[in-house]
Amino acid sequence: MKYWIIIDNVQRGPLELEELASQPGISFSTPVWHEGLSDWSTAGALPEVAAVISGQPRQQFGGQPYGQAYTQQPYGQQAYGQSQYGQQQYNQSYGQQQYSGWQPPGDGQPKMPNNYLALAIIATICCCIPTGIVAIIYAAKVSPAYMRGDYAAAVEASSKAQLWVIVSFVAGLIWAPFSAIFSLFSM
Amino acid sequence: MQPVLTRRGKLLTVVAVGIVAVAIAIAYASVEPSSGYYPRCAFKMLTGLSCPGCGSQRAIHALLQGDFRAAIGFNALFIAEIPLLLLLGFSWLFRDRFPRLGRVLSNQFFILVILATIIIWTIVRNIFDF
Repeated sequence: MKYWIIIDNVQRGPLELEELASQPGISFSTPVWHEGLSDWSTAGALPEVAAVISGQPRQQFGGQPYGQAYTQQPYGQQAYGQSQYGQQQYNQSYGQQQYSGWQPPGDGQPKMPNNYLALAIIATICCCIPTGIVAIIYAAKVSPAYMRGDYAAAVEASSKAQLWVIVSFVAGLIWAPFSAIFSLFSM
Repeated sequence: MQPVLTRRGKLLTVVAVGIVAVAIAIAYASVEPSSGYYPRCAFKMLTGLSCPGCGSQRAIHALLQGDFRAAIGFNALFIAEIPLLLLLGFSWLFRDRFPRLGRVLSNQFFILVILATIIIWTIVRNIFDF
């Protein structure tokens, strides 16, 4: 998959995922787009990109260098270069509802990944206990990892919680018709 | 991977969950527990013990018949978790508007308390047989 990014008002791309890490000036708040996304997102909001970036020790989120650059050039006002994907589209999406919780610079932290707690509880109660409990345990790990700034670990816990939720539901769905047949016969 | 949910994505999710919920509600309201069509708990069939969710289906049926008392009798934990699940869904939908709610609900201690509640509930219900 090819990625496009915007750094210092200049759009770069198409880039491979691996190439993103070596882009000078990339951070979690860098706008990123790839095919299939309806709008520009940020590097921090896309786990695979966040993981690649955080693999580099110098790219901690909330880093000062980016913070200053952004305060001088607020989002939504500037034109972003010769973008064939439409500056309007990008400008519109920022500063409106979709990114309303998003704080520019300084604390340009990515959002906390979903912990799938609701689905994990449903899985535990309704489907398949052991795997549901594993999902809840991973759900519990998301927040602390995120709070200590370890975004990659938070993403990992999130995707493991998701995986075990899926495993639970699939097991439950496979089991349900069998058990209904069984109970009809055993009546 | 973590999808970046747009407004439309959230709306579609809400509609899809709503349709599934209504379908499940219709199914459980119209099929009697005694009919034998309810899926059975694998844990109970294997061990003879009640899992934390045993009785949920009968509880849903009773709830849809308006018999709240019977619903609690079948699975009190399940009834207690319905508002929690609704709250979790709400905080997920409006995480931008209520970031603090999301933080409280994703707190590790909070989640471990839920887990402990489920485990204790399972032990207690098997000892006292309800």
